[in-house]
Amino acid sequence: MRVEVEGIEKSFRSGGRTLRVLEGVDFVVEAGSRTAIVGPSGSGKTTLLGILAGLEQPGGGTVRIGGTDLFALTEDGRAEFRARHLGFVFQTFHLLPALTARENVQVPLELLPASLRPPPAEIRARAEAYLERVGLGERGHHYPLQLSGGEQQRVALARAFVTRPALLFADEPTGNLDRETGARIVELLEELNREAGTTLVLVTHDGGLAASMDRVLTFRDGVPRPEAA
Amino acid sequence: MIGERISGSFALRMAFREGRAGVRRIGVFMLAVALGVAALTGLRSFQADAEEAARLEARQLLGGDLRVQSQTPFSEGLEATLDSLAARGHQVARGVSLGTVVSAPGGPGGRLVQVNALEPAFPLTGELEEEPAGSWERAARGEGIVAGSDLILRELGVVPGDSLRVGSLRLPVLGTVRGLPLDPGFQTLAGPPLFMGLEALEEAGLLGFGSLAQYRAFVVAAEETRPGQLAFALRRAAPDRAVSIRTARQEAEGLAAGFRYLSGFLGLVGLAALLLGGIGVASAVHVYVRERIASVAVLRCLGARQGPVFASYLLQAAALGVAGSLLGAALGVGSQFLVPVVASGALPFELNPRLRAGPVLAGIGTGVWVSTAFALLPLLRVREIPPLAALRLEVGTEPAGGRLLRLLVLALLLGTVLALAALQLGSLAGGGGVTLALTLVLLLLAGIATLLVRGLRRLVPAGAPFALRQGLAGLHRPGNQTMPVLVALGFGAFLMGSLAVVEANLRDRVSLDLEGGPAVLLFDIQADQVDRVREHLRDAGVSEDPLPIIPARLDSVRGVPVSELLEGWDEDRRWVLRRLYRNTERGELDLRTERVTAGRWWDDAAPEGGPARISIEEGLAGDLGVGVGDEIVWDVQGVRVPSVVASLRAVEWAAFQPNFFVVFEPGALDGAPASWVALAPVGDPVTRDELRERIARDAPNVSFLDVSALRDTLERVARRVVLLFRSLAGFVLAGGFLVLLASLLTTRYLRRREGAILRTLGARGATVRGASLAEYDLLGVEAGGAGLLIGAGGGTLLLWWRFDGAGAVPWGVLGAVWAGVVLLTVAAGWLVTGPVLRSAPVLVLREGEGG
Repeated sequence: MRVEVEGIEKSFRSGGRTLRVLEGVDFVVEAGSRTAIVGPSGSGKTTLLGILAGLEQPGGGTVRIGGTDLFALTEDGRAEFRARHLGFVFQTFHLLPALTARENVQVPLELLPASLRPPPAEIRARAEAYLERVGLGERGHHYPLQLSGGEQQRVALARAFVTRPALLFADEPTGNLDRETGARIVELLEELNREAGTTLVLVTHDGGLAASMDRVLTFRDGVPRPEAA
Repeated sequence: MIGERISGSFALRMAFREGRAGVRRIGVFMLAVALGVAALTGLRSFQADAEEAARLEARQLLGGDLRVQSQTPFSEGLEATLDSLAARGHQVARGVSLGTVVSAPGGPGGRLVQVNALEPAFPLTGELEEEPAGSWERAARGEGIVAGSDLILRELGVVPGDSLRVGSLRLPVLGTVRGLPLDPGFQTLAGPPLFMGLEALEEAGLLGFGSLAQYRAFVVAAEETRPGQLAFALRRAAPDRAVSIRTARQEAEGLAAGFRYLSGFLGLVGLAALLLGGIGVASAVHVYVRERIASVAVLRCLGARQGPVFASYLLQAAALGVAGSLLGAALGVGSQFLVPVVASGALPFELNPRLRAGPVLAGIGTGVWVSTAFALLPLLRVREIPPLAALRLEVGTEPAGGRLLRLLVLALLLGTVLALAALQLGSLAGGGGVTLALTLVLLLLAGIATLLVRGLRRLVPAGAPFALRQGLAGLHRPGNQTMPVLVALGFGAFLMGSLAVVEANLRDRVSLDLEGGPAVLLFDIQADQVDRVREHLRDAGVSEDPLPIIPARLDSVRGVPVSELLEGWDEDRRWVLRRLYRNTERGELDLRTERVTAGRWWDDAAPEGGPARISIEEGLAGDLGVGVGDEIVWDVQGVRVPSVVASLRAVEWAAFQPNFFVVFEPGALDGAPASWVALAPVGDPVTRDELRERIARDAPNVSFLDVSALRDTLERVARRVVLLFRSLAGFVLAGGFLVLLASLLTTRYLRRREGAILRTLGARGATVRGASLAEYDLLGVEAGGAGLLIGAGGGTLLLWWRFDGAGAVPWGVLGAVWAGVVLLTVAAGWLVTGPVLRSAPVLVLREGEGG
C-alpha cells in the first residue's frame, strides 16, 4: 500500500510559545517497501507516525494511503480504515491488560466491519495460529501481566499481523527490550512482513535496525532528509 | 538508637514524598470513610444533645418533679396522700390522658389522637408558650380545646375558631400551646396531642369503665424536699405495682436510654458505611502498592530496610485515614446542627446542638483506626517485595513470615469489627451477632459476585457483540477493584432488598382493608349501652356482637403468688406479671385469626363449681410457664377468680380483628365490670354515617373509629419507621456508590489508555463507549442482583424468625430497586469516565514517546 505524504505541518503550544514540530514534510513510501524513520528525541518522529496512522490531526497537508485521503474521513471512518488496512506495534506493547494473550490477538479481527469479519471460530483459530507463529502457542490463556516484555511484544506482533494489514506502523518495537530479545523480535517482524508482503513504516533509535530497512528517513528540525539505506 | 531515629525520619520523609504524588489519586476512597465517620459523629453528637435536652427538660416533660400514673382511677388511699402533700405546701395537680377519636363536624372520619385533660393549675413547671395568649386558661376552664402544635390542626383540617367533636362535646379550637405535660412516646410516633380542661373531659363522657385512659397526678416538691422522699411516701400509699411513680430524673434517664438505644442501632448503619469505606481503602491500597513495586524494590536496592519502607506506606494510609475522618467529622457536626430543623415537631423537646469534643474525637479515632487496620492487609505485600524486583518485575514476592502475619491482621480486622459493633450496641453478644451477620453477608456477596463474573465470562458466546465481551473483560481489568465495588454496592442493595421484603409483608399483614369494605371500630361501650349499640349494628346490617373486655391482673400462677414470682424474674419479664390484661369471654373460636395448638376448645356447658376454663395465647403461656391443666388465679377488680388452662391458641395478631391473650368460657365473668368493643364491616358510606350519628346520639362516649382514620395513624407511624430505614439503607448504598466513584476515578487513566488502544486498532467511538457502558451495566446488574437476592433471603428469614411466618417476596419492588441500582451505576460510570473515552487515540504513542 503506497503512502503519499504532502506538506504535513504540525505545531504545539507549550509554555505560551508555539513549537513547530513538523514543517512541510513531503515523502512517498512505495507499496511493499520497508522504511525506517530515525532522528534524535524531539525531532517529530512519533508525531509523524501518529499523523500517518490517522491518530492525530496535522496542522496542514495531506496523507494518502492507497489513494485514500486519510483526513477527508471522519474519525470513525479513520478508525474503520485502520481496522481494515493498518497494523501497529508499539514500544510499550499496549496489550489490553484485562484480556488474555489470545483475546488480545483476536481484537483487531473482531473490530472488522461485519462484512469482513470472520466467524468466531475462525477468529479464534487465526489468533491461535498467529500465537503459534510467534512461539506462544501454549501461552494464549495468560494475561499480559503474566508475560515477560519479550513475550508481550510477540503477542503484539501477532496482534499486528493477524488481519494481514497492507501497512504496518511500528514505533520503537525493540525500545523496551534487551538486545537479544530485540533481535529476535526484529527477526520475527521481518519474517511476518515478508510473508504478508506488508508495507512497513518503522520509527527507531536502533541504527542497526534502521540500516536493515530499504530506506531511512532521518528527521532533523521537523524535516526529513532522505538517504539511501 | 541512632539507626532507629534515622529509620523513623526516613519513613516519615518517604511517606511525605511518595504521598504527595500518588496518594491524592486514591484519596477519593477516603470519601467513603468520611461518610461512615460523618454518620457516627453525627449520631453520637445527636445522642449527647438529646440526652442533655432530656435532662434539662425532664421536669417540664414530666410535668413536675414527680408523676403518678395509673390505668384505673386512683385508690382512696393514694388520693388522700396526694391531698396531704398539697396541704403540706407541695404543688399537686391532676390530669387524665387518653387516646380517642376526634373529628371536625362535617369533616372526614376523624383521627385517633392523644387528649390530655388537665386542671387549670398547669403548667406546674417551666414556661407556657401559647398562641393566642390566654388560650390555655380558657381551655382549662372548659371553654374549648388547644393543640400541641399547628401540625395536628392542619391534619384535622381545622383552624382556631372551628370546632372539634370530642366524645359527646363539641369544643371550639382556641389555639396552640407548648409547655404542658404530654406523652413523649405517643407524640414521637403519632403526632402532637390536644389539651383540654379535666372537667370538660368528664362531661364528654370519655371516662367510662374500661376506657383507654391514664389517670395522672403531678407533684412539684416544696423547697428543701427531695422528690425521692415524696415518691417513697406515694409508693407506700400505692403498693400496687400497676401505679407508676416516676421522678423527673427517672424520666430523663428513661428518655436518655431510649435515645442511646436508637442511636446505637442507627450507629450500626454508620458503622456498616465505615466498614465499606475500610474495604474501599484496602482495595485502593492494594492497587497503590502494586503500582509501587518498582519504587519499593529500588529503595530496597539502595539499602532501605523492610521496616522503614513498610512504615512509610503505613503512614501514608494513616494520613489518608486522618484526612477522611476529619472531613467526616466536619460533615457529622454539620448534620448534628441540621437535626433540629429536620426533626422539628417529631421530638418532644427542643434540641440545642453544640460542638462536643467526645463524639468528634471518637468519630475521628474510629475512622483512622478502621482505615489503617483495613490498609494493613494489602500493605503486608510491601514487606514481601524483594530488591531484585527492581531489575526483573516478574521475580514475584518473597514470603516474609507471611502467613502468620496475614492471619494476625485478619484477626485484628475481625476484632476491630467486633469491638466497634459491641461498643455501638453496648453488648458483646450483640456485637458478635452483627459481626457474624456482616461477615456472612459480605462473604456471600463476594462469593456470588465472583461466580457471576466468572460464570458470565464463560457463558457469553464468542459471537456476542464485541462491546459486551469487552465490557465483561473490563471487569477483570487489573486494578479495576471489581470485587470491592461489587461488595460495596451489593451491600447497599442487600439492605434495600431485605427492607423491601419486610416492609411489603408487614404492610400486607397490617392491611386494614377487610372483606366487605371499610370497617368501623367501636370501643368503650358501657354495659348499659351494649343492647342499644347491638341494635344499631343490626340495623346497619352487622351480625357481629360486641365483645366484652374485662380488665384483670394476675394474682397467682400455678399456685405461686405474683409477688413471689416477681422476685425471681428479671426486670424485662416482670411486665408480664404486672400488666393489666384485657380479657374477654367467648363461646366460639374465631377461626379467622386463631387456632387451638394444645388442649381443647370448650364446646359444652361450664362444669358446676370448678374453676373457669380459659384459653391462653401460646406465647404468653410460654412466658408464664403454664400449659394445659395449670391453674391461674386472676384479680378482677379486687375479686379473685380462679381459672384452669383448657387450651393454648396461636393468634394472628396483625389481623385487624379484636384479639385477646386470654379468653374465658362464656358466663365465667358474668357480673364483672366490663366495657365492650365491636368491629363492624360497614362498607356503605351512607350507612356508616347513619351509624355514626346514632351512636353519637345514644352513646356519645363511645369512640367511633373509622378504620381509615386508624389506618392514617398507623400509616403515619409506619411511614416514619420505613422512611428511617430507607434513609439508612440509602445511606449505605450511597457509601457503595462512593466506593464505585473512587474506583472509577482511580482507573480513569487505565480506561483512557484502553480506549485509545482500541481506537488505534480500529474501534469506532461508539464501540469503545458501548464497551464501557456494558461494563457498568454488568457491574450494576451483578451488584444489585446479588445484593437484592441475598436481601430477599435475609428479609424472608427475618420475617420467619421475628414475625412468625414466611412472607412473599415483592419481586416488582425488587426489580425496580435493581433497575435503579443499574441506572445509577451506569450514570456514575458515564459521568466519571465518559469524558476520558473521548480522548485522542494518539495517547498510545505518547506514552512511550521517542521523538
